[in-house]
Order: sequence, then C-alpha cells, then structure tokens
Amino acid sequence: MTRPVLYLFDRLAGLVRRLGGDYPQFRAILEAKLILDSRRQGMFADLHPSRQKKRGAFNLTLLLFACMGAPVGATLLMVEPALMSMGTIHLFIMTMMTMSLLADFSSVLLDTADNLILLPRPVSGRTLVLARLAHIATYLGLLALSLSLGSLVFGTWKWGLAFAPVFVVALALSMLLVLSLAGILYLCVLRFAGRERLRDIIVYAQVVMTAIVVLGYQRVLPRLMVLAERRFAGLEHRGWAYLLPPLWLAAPLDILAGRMAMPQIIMTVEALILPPLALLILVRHLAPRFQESLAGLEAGPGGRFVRQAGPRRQSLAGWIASVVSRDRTGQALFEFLWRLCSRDRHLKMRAYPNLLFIPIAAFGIIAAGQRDLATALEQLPHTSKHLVALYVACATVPPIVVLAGYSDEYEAAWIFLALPFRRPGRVLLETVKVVGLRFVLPIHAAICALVLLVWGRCAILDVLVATAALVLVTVSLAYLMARRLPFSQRMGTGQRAGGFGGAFLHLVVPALIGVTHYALRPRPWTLVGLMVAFLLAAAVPARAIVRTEWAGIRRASQ
Amino acid sequence: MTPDAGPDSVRTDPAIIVRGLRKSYGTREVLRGIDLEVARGQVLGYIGPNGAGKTTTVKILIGVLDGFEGQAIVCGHDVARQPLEVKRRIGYVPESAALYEGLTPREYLRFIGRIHGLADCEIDRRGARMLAQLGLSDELDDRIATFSKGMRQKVLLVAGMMHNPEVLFLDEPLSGLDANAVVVVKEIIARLARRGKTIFYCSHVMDVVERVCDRIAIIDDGRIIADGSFEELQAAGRGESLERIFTQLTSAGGHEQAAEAFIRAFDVEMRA
Repeated sequence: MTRPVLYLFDRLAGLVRRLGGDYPQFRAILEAKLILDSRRQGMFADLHPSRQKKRGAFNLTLLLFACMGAPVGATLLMVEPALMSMGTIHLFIMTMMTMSLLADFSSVLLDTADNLILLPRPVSGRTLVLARLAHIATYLGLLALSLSLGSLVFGTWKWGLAFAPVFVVALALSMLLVLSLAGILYLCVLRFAGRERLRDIIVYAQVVMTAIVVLGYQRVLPRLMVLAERRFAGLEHRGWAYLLPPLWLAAPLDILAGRMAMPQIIMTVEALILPPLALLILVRHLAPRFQESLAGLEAGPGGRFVRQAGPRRQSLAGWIASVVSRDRTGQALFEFLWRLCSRDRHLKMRAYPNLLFIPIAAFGIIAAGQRDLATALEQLPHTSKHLVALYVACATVPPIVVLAGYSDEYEAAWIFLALPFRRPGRVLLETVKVVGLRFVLPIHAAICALVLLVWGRCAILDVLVATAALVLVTVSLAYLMARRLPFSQRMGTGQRAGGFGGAFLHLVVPALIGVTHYALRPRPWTLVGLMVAFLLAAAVPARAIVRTEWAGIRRASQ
Repeated sequence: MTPDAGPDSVRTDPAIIVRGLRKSYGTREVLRGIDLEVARGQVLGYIGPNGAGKTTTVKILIGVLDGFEGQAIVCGHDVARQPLEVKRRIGYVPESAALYEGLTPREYLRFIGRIHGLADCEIDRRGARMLAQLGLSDELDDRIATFSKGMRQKVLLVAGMMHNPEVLFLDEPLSGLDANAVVVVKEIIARLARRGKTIFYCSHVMDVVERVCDRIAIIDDGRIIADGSFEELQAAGRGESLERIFTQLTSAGGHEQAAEAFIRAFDVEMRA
C-alpha cells in the first residue's frame, strides 16, 4: 500500500509546503509509518523477519463497511431531492469516520512511542502534525471509500459519470473536515486542559457519537424518510441548513442534479472553503507547539501517585486471587496481571469506549417503536426485550480479552518467557480470569441487575442462561483470538483500524445464541439444558487454553 | 545542508552555554541551578549517580524538554526559542534503544537522513560505510527487531552522527558494544574532537570517561559539585581514580557495609 499512497501525496507536495510543512521530512515520516504498519511488531516478530503482516482485520472491516454502505447508498434512488439523499449519505459517512477516528486513530495522532526518535530531530510541529494526519487519512480514506462504494454505483447510475468525480472530491473534503476538527479539538484540549482531560474528552466524544448514531437510526432517520418529500422539499431555505456540513457536501450534487439556486451555491462554497480553513487553523495556529504537547503527554505525573499503603493490608486483587486461583503461582500471576490491567494506560482507553455501546444500543432497541419513554417502560416487563440487552452485552464485552494481548510496552512481556513455566497456558488462563473478573463480569452484573429490576423474577433463568453464554463466548474468543501472552504485542495502525469494524463481527455469534434462547423460552427446562450445555462447552476452550504450548503461542502471535 | 566545518565555523564562542538551569517535575526539583560552558572541540564527561539529573540536562539541551528556568544556548541558538535551529546542529544518541524496530538499518538511516535533508545517495554511502566500520555490513537489510543490544546501539550511533553534527550528545554510547566496537567508538570520539566537534558524554563507566574526556563535570542532586580535568580533580586531593573521586563526592561512603547488608538479606529469609 505504501507506494500508491506516497504517489498520491507526492501530487499534494505543494499543499504540504504551503501549509508550512517540510515535504521531504513529511514523506520520510509517512513512509516509515506505512512500512511499519505493513510489518507485525511484537514479542515474536523476530521469528519471521521478512514475513508481511496479514491485514486481515482491516480488510474485513472494509468489506463490512462496503456492505453497510450499500443500503444507505440506495437512498439515492428512493429519496428526492438529491440534497436530502446526498446529505443523508454524507451524514452517514461522516459519522462512521468520526467514530472510527475517535475509537481507533486518536492514539496515532497522539502517539508518544517514538518521541525519543522524532523529537530530537529538526522536525517542526507542522510537519509532524501533517504527517500524522496523512497517516490517519490513508486508513480513513479507505474506510470512506468502502462505505461509499454503494452510493458511488447508485449515483453514477442515476446521474451519469459526472457524479463520480464530484462525489469523490466531496468525500475528500468531508474527510478533511472530520480530521481537522478532531485535530483542533485534541490540540486545543492538550494545550489548555492537559492530557488527563483529553482522555476524558475522547471518551465523552465517543459516547455522544454513539448516542447520535443509535438514536439517529432508531428515531430520527425513519421519520426523516417519511417527512423527506413533504417537509424537506425546501430544506435549503431554512437558515440552519447552512450549518450542517453534510448538506454543504451534498449541495454540489444537487446542482449536478439540475437544482442550481443560490442556497446550493452558497453551500457548495462552504464545502470548498471551510474544510481547508479548518486544516489551516489546525496547522498554522495549533501545530507549532505540538511537540511540547507530545513531550508533556509522555512525562510522568511526577510522583503524585505515591500512595502510603498501610502495612500488610490485603489488597482486593490479592483477595480475589486467593479465591479464584488454586496455587501460589496462579495467585501471583493473577494479582500481577490484575495490577497490569488496572494500570496499563491504553487498555482502559481502548476497552471502555466499546462498552459504551451497550447501554445506548440497548436503550435504542428497547425504546424502538414506542411513542414515548413512559409507555415504553410500562410495556417492557411484558416483552422479551431484556434478551436484547443481555445479548448486546454478550457481544460487546468479551472482545476485551483480545485487547489484553496488546500494549505499547510490549517488550516488558519477556518476563513471561523467563519464568519457569513448562507451558504458557497458565499465564493465558489467569489473563482470561483477570479480564473476565475485572472488566467483563462487573459490566454484565450491572446489566443483569437492571434487567432483574425491571422484569422481576421471571427473568432469573434468562439472566443465568445469558451469563453462561457470556462465559462461553469470552472463553472461546480468548482461545480463538487471544492466545498471546498478555501485553506482548504492539498494536499496529492496521489492527487499530480494524478495531471499530471488528466489534461488529463479534455480534453474529451472540445474536444467534440470543435467537436460540428466544425460541426456547416457552419451554423453561430446555433453557436449563442450554445453560448447562454452554457451561460444559466453555470447558473445552478453557482446557485448550491451559494446554497451550509455547509453539502454539508463537503461531498465534505471528 | 549540513553544517560541515567551513571557514566561518572556526568560532571561539562556547558550543554549549548553560546558566542557572532549573527544572522541576511537579514539586520535585530535579535541576537546582546548573552553570556550565563547554568550549568547541571539548569532550565533556557528564557523570552523576542515578537520578541526579543527567538525562534531564541532556533532554533540555537537545530541545526535547521545555518548561525550565534559566538559559541554555547550544551552537549559538537559544534552546527555548529556536529548538529547530539547535536540533539541526546536534546529534543525539539516546540511552534507551529508541528505534523503529520494524525497519531495517538501511530504511531507518534513510528515514533519519531524509529528516536531516541529506540526499538519498549520500545517506546510503555514509550509512553503509559507518555501519561497516562498526562491523554491521551484513545486516543492512535485516529487521532491527532481530538485533542484539549492541547491534542496535551501533545503529543508534550512526543515526546520531550521520548528519555530521557540530555538537554530539552521547548518553551511555558504549552500552552493549563488543570490545572491538568500543575501541573504534572511543577513537571516533577522539578524532571528532580533533576536528572541532563538541561532545557531551554521559556515562557511568568511570574508566572510559577518565580516558575519553578532557573535562569532567560531576552532578549530584541537581547541582554540579565538581568540574575540571581529570588531573585537576585528582590534584584536589580526591583520590587516584575517577571511580574513587566519584564515590567520595556523591555517596556517604560505606560500600563494604552496603554490600554486606545486601548479602545478609538472604540470611533473614533463611531464619524466617
């Protein structure tokens, strides 16, 4: 991928220079990053130095996004005017890009891992910011293209070949806008509020975006469709329409569709001017002090965490370890991993945002089709919608076990190789236990409590079955995808890029289990059987994890 | 492109000027007023116990760390105001092996060289030649991830010097190197100094500092507590070797007791 991307940016060299970047430096940084992305990095990377990393996760995400984008693209055929349908499509694509950016690429922009390599070199903040934006744009551009593939086909079919170039330029502009606004947000927060705030704000932004997406699909979009022709025929004549970026980007196509008027022209001008302006503000005014912010991001808090622990106070981790692990080795591993999981800077940042999906999605689905919330809540106990809440959790929580295999400080994992274990299975099993108890179970327990509160006693069996399913899914996922030593791999940009899309994939199996559960509900004894079956089945991957040999870990890590 | 030694670079002003340098992390004061001048062509050994402030000083001087008090001028440029100008003229070999491990030495040096504005052919020529002299000519296209600590150190050394900087900051540059490479690097340092390059040498290896550096500054607890040539430090009646001088100045003494107490830790366990 490196060469075509560099070729593309070579065409934009003048732009980089005009923004105050040093193009040869920009190119060198981008090239190094793209080469690094194409190679796996981690504990066992040296076994096959020349082997190229499989970009499986990211390619799957692209495919998935293409499938998701196709029906949205069909809006073009069903909804008139073009301003409305194109606006919807751009809204969809921008939303997906923003989500992906927040979830997977924030850490690329704010990467501090190569501070010691880059900061002592004569690279200006502008060049560095531009190179990082370009790096992210490479992936974001591919995501946007696959999302818009359907629209591209439908649009070209409807309006002819002139559609494609206009649409692609609009896509580029929308990506520029999303990237620049995110960059402005991050750098402003970094400069004025500090790094701890920044992490909070990224998480808040993710919550807001997820809420917008789910509620948008549930409530706003269907109504918009119904009202589209009636009320939005004169969309462009409303003042607030000028504030909506998706409409600016849709305006040139509205013109192409033959509706040339003043509002469309103004919006087109907005689309052409405002995204570059955002980039200009970012690069001109915020980027020059970027390195200082990066250096600050890396610097420790300066001994603020010095805690005077009482002597011989047994910790929570130690107590849980003594309950869930039999021997001293297991307990020591559990306690150690528990602490690592609690303190790894990035694990939490990656784990929690995925979880935010649960309450929002569950709420969206539960409240769907109801006129107002009060009626919805009244009706709830008579429905089977608690299964939805339970299985959405079952789909979103377990993937955290995969995250535990990654860390930016992956080199420290040599310690597991140095310890006298015949098999690494023990370490893997304790890792699953820690992630399960530290992240998966508390969240699941909260959801179960909520379900029992609303549905009462009749939901007890359902909760138990769902818990068994959760155990099965978590352990299976750990066996299939996470047979790596904890914190032993570096998460490359390609894998990061697959993260957001990958979360969708884990939906399939829990959804099937959920449907089975629903189908068997009329006969409670079959549910008991199902629960027992799940628990027995979970023992199979669990045993397999314990029996993992060193060779198995190497294979899984390549 | 690179500031090679030209007729106008025969300058007499100091390469490094530090005045009243203070730096705190939170409430902890790491540097408590450092004053230092390093003349061009001088090899300064900057030594001190762990946590004394050596790396902090270096990070400030190479323009990576801001938020300090006092003045730091390197190659005639104020570090706080013109960090890029400073970075163009210096080389830095960090203590930890900060490298893009997924790259090969050839790719990594190309990356670094391009950042410094060198032409590709020049980068390849210099890189290959320099690495070959350190005994790394066959591994040019292997991934750095497969390298031993010493091999990585060699890549770092070349990456720090290939743009021919005026001032070179070396933080424990010999760590992990084999004996042959150590001899070569020591000789390189001496020859660079003869060519008018200034070298700021941080290390814990006392006998190397003693031999390589023509001036030694000892820092302890954020202050410089001794400064002069090895002979001057000796003449001040501190001891025979630099190691002696160093330990006398920076610790309360009692190494034998410390070692004995260390070993005794086993006994306590056995009794329990």
